[in-house]
Amino acid sequence: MKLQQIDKKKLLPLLDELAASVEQLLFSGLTTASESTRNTLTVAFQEASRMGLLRLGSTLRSVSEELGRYTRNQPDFSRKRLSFFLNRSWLLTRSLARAIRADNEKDFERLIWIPPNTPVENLEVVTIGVSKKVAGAFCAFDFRLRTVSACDLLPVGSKLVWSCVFPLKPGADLPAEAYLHLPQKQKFSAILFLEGKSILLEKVALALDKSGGGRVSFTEHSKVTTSQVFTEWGQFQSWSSDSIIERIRRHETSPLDLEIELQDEIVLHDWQIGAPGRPDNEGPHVFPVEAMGVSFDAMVGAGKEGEALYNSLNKYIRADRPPLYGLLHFEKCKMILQPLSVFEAKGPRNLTLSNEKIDKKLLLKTLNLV
Amino acid sequence: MLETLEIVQAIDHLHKSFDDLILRGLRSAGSEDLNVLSMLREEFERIGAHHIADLIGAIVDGIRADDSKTAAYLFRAQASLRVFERILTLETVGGILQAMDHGCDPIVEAEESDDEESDADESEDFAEMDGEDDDDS
Repeated sequence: MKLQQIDKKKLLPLLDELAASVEQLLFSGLTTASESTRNTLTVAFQEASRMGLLRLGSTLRSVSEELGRYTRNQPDFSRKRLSFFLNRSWLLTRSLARAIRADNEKDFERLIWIPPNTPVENLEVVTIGVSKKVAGAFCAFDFRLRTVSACDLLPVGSKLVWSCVFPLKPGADLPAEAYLHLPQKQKFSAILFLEGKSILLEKVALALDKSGGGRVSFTEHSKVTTSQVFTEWGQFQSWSSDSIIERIRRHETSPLDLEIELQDEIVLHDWQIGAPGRPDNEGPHVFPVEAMGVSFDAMVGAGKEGEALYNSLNKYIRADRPPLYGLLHFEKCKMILQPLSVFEAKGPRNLTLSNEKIDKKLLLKTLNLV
Repeated sequence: MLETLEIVQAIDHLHKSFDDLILRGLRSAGSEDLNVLSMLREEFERIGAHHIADLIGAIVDGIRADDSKTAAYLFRAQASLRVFERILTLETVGGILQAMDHGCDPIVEAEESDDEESDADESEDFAEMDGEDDDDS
């Protein structure tokens, strides 16, 4: 989206009103937040999304959701999260208004930040790890992929991620992993990515990122099929800090940064792991991991979401430890590790997903799909 | 590394104070809140993060004067604090990663490359917001 395309006469008053409402919310506190303030936020979220300001829209949606949790007195309300998203809303709102008034195209595009999608005809990938998130109303999986064939945009071995999100059916007692068996619009099930085979992607879209990898998304014309069992996993088991050191060196810090935007995929050999702790009673479990003379905090979500990973890591405190693959990011001067899989002789074994057998007939019946 | 840990603890403490104020509202801030903020202002002065210390001071003064701009001061302070923490973190872990690369002791390398006493550089947009808001009625 370009600055010239937006309706400034409509957008500027909306941004000013939104900033004022957020400031008023801060001034008076949540308990006295008026209905009109909450309505302003809801309308602003809808308008921002309608105008294509998706970054602002998604931030405002997070504020609304957190405010909703607060007013309903839900146990998963987080003041830290609310504070973060309120601040982000204010920064984006003020900065966008300033960029528009100054007719600053460069700043405007940086603030709305929509990475462009590039179509790709054919791509062959394998899965080396999956992260799982279970929130109140949805579950989401990020499949960490590696290309095993070159295309115009990317060489072999490039890092890609594909995400899928499933709304959770209220009252249905199903593990999150069950939803992986449900068909996507393109008539494949996400579970196909976990069969240890190479996966053929046709007519997909890639949003490339600064690290040289990118995000895969599917269109209505996309096709996803499996090929043969993949055996050459050894090529993915090395890691060098060169790339992340360079990215840190080139990084320009901004108050809009998210910690996970500067993350790397890491493989640890000869690693040790200690018993978990829980420094923040409401927060994740933390397993201390040592490798290469460095300490990492391996984070494991509390509750059902982290159960499979928690049990897997616990076993490795005493058992033999194959190479560990995970995501590395940096927070409060610490190396934060999100373990995803281990490389065994036959290939990667997921740590994050439960091995519980899924009764597909029961699944479809529970979700009223038969 | 001990000094870095103390700075991180101060950052954490300030973040939590801000989160509390946001939840309860600036208008409800009492003498205990102001004492905590004043104490943290001194701590950030001691660390050398003068810009953040000044913003904390503006918040304290704004609360005392029931100034409607105090909310904007707090949002600015939060953003400054985030940038400060990110720069501190990236300098610290950058040192650790460099040491891993060269087979050196990563903790010693991180301390030797540690220069977190200097104020964080603000992003250009954010710094310019100071001038813009002064024009607001």
